[in-house]
Amino acid sequence: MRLPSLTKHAAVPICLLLALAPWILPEFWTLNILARAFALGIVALSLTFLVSFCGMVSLCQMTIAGAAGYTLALFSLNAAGLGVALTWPVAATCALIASTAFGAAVGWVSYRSSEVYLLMLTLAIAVCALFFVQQNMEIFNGFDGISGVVLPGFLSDPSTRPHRIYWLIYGSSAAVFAAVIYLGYTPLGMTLKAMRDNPRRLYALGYNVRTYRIIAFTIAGAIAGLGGILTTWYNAQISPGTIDVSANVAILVMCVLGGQKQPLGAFLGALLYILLDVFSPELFSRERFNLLLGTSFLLVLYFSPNGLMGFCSRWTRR
Amino acid sequence: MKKLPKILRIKTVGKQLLTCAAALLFATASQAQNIKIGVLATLDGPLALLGQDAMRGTELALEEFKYQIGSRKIEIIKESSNGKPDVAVAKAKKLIEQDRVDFLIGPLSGSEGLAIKEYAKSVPTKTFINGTSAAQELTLRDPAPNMYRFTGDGAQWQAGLGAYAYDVKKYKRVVLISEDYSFPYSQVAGFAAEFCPRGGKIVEKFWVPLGTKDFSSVIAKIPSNIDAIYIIVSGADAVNFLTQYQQSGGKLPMIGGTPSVDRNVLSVKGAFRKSTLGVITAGPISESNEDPLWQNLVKAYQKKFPDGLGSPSFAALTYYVSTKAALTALAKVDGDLSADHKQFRAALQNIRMDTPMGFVSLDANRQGIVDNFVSEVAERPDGSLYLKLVGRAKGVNQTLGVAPETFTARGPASRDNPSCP
Repeated sequence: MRLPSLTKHAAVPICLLLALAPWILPEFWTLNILARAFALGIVALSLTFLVSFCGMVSLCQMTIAGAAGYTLALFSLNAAGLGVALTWPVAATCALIASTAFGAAVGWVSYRSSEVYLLMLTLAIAVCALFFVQQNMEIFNGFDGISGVVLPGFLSDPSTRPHRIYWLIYGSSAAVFAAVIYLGYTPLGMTLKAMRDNPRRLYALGYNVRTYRIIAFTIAGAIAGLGGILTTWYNAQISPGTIDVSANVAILVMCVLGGQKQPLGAFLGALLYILLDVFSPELFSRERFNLLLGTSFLLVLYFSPNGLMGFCSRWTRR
Repeated sequence: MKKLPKILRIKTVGKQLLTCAAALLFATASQAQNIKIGVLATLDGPLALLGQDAMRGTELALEEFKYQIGSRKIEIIKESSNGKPDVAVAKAKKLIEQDRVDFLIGPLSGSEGLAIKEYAKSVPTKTFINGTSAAQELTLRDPAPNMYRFTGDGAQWQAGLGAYAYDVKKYKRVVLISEDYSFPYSQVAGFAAEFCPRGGKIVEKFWVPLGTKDFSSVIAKIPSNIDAIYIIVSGADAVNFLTQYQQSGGKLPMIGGTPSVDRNVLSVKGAFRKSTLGVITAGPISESNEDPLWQNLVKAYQKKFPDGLGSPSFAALTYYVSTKAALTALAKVDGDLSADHKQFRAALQNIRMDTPMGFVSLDANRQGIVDNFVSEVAERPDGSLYLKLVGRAKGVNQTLGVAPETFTARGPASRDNPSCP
């Protein structure tokens, strides 16, 4: 996969600057903007991976991330007193397994669907999961969700926590991003792209398209699960509001805003979305700020179908 | 070398930088004097009208203090949530961490309050004063030491209603239709605490998600041999339910939770309004209350917000009382917020004041001990609807007059607790 030239020249300095962000930027910016953007960016990356590698749009990535989040919350000490408290490595591993399995299940159920029908099917899965979680009190605590999730030891000291959780999220994003780029060069990645370009030819060559679709969703589920674990630790809570339809649509918006054809677009889109979300009530209107979000989305789509990355590549090409 | 445009030359840049620095210094110097208060309400989502009114209530309280405590000016920063716990916590974090507010007033919705309670425990240096949020668990079990609630919880807000429904209205069998989250659970607990021991039966409970638009399936399932519907829905959901129930030809009398027939709902135009006549409800407000403090608040509200709801709703009243309590305590310590708000919090704990909703004081869990009003929806000669006072319970505490151990032994309020089929 060719990186746009902007990334090639600026990659190392930007990575370095981001790693040093806790000392350069005010704490609000590292913790509330960048950390949130990277954590959600990982979930958006799972969607960008599906779109760019396999040409499949799924509207339940945040739900899959939420599966990991709920598993993590239930296997940690929490204020609702639900679940079984395990040590954090075990809890995080179980959460990752849960989201990967959920992703595989989504892939298995939807292997025959494509385009709009896949979108509808994944949306239906997301809504089913939302209502199940919202109405179940015994395990998921209904509308209130599970709050007061106790963080792992290395994250719980309030004085060091802001930096550590930022580095954890940033490090994970960088690792996952590198893994996805690398995947593009592996035979598996090439197969997935071939499946995107022409599934019938792939089938004729003897590859089982169904298996590869399930594999694609499984990988996306794992990536989304990592994002879900990090957002749950970041928020110290999870509730149905985290996985509802608007949250899933937000992931799609991030993916499209940033550029659906490159993995970096996921993080750029997430950053832009968070910036709009945090600052538009102040800058625009306390009561009408959603208007700004929607309008920006429409404008970016209209002027650049490949989102922000499209802007960048057009600008560097000139 | 070509001459740079004027704006980029060193002299001009230097002058600009100097003025910027001076302005910033001056700004920060004067900023350091300001007291920053963050106000969080639901300006988005199904409770948006309540959130708008809540902001009005805060402004009325701030006006009484003329936006000033001693020599320090008050600066308020408003944020909007949408009823969902995670959004509320995200906005609270923004207010505390970016805007660096000194204390936070809010949130509005029950479940938001529970999430903010957990967040408050992680920020012990800042104080949190509840807005309307009325889930019992906010202060009943495991409260946050820096969170204060000057208004009643959902159960306190139904004190007197269960008794009135059974004794006066003679309703013996009711069915419950309610939104499915923490605040209605608390309301049912308060109602059932009086209704069930007298022999009343809550025959069946229908729980719908917050934000439900279509109640037709629920209305179809209402059993036939019941005396009244106990309905707990807020804002837009209440309007939807009442309209659909009336359209389906339903004639059963209703008992309303606090938000079901409040000022927000009664001020909406629509054919359903006639069906709300005679509905009994309870809460911190009764609009025909003769208390001069309440009448003055109504006049101030009407004067400042001619395009408001005509009279403060319970959201406006609770935010007004909470803000006023905070500012009274702040004035008592002359704006001293040092030492992690030590003096301020002591002043908050010792608040004992008369408010438009009666006398307010705090218990050991920083929960308000308040009066409660039972009302019936009645019509004025000019056709407008209002809440007519029919009963009043004074000094209701969080355990509703029961011994604390007995009360907490009943377990947290939930869908099945309490239950008297």
